[in-house]
Amino acid sequence: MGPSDHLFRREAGRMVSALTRIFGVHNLALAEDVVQDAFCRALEVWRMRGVPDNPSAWLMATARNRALDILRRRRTANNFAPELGRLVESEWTIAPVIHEILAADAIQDSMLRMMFSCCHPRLSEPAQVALILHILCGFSVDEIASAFTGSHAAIEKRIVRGKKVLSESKRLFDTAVPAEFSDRLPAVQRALYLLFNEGYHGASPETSVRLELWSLFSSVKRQNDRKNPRPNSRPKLSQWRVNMAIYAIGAMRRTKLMIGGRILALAIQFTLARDAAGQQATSQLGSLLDRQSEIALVTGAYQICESSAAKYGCAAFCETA
Amino acid sequence: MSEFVFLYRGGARDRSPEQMQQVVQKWTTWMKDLEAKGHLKDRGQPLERAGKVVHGKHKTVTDGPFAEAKDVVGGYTLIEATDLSEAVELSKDCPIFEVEGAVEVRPVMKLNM
Repeated sequence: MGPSDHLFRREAGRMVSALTRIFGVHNLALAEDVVQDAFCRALEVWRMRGVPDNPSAWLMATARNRALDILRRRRTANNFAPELGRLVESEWTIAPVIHEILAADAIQDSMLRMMFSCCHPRLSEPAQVALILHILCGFSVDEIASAFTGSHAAIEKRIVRGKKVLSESKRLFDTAVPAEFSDRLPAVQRALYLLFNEGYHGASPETSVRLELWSLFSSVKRQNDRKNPRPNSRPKLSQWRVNMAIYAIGAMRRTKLMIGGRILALAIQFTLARDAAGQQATSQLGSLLDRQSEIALVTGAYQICESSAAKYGCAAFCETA
Repeated sequence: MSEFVFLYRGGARDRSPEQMQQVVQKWTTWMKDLEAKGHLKDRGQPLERAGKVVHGKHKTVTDGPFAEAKDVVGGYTLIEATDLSEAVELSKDCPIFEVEGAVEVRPVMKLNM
């Protein structure tokens, strides 16, 4: 666990999303408690014994055991996730079902569903972003308040209300229904855009977590596009790529790859500053902006103030690639 | 060299994921430093916060310990130092002080007469 690793933050989003599949979205608070318990336990054990070889697996196993305890103790008194139904009522099925939900690819799916759930139409954009940051990125109220330069009370109110809306929906958003998916997609894209934009302009120093969210989202989006090709999906896809490019540029700037849009400085930075986030951002930017025409798309979209920097970034990328 | 036990008491539990990460990292650094300087005899073990207390002639069993959260021992480490004052100095770098915790430094009794 190095100084640039944000294990707890990263795992918080994975674990809460997965546990919400088990407990049901109306038991979001319970899922959060289980995660907090697992973290406290990790803290107390790791500080004495050292961090284990696979800390993510350690945390997930601890949370899984706690979840099983709760299900066994309270299954008669509580309605957990409706989609699990009677599977959690039998000792024969309960453990395999929980294992399956907490497996890596199932967690990815849960995170994506959580992301879409957070972008509920009844919530304002700032509330959606605050929820994503809080639930999926593991940011505390104070950390979000400092990133948004808002007051603790205001952000807290936003998150409490957001969680209330979330827990009133019976289940996590189902991304497998194509119509609902594309209905809510613009909201999710906007939220992600704001997320990166705030991350860049605001005081928050973390990019790795949000980069991960973004790559999760984009990979699932690609899968979805393959599965559900729509005849009129072409313009949407372009817009999508543009958004992604903007995020990539934001991420690059966060890693100080661009200084004042100066191409020379940038080209030098490019070869020097190859940290993980920068590399990920640049390689994704490269795959997104492999044609000059798309640079024009970037400059037009969202009226971004960094448009000139974007051009320089792409040019520099082409030079170094 | 004499042996000492560090007993770790208290420490706020309500923290954000990022703060927890930092706490773990600080502890790791501190323990490594003790080890590198040859003071770490045994890393020790973390202790569950709750257990049972058996007491009295009637061996009454109650939930315990009764201490307030800030006084509960969360773990121990076995340290080697020349004397008590060196052991105390070593404890001062413990990250537990950043979260309102305490380290109790207790010399292990010497058995040789």
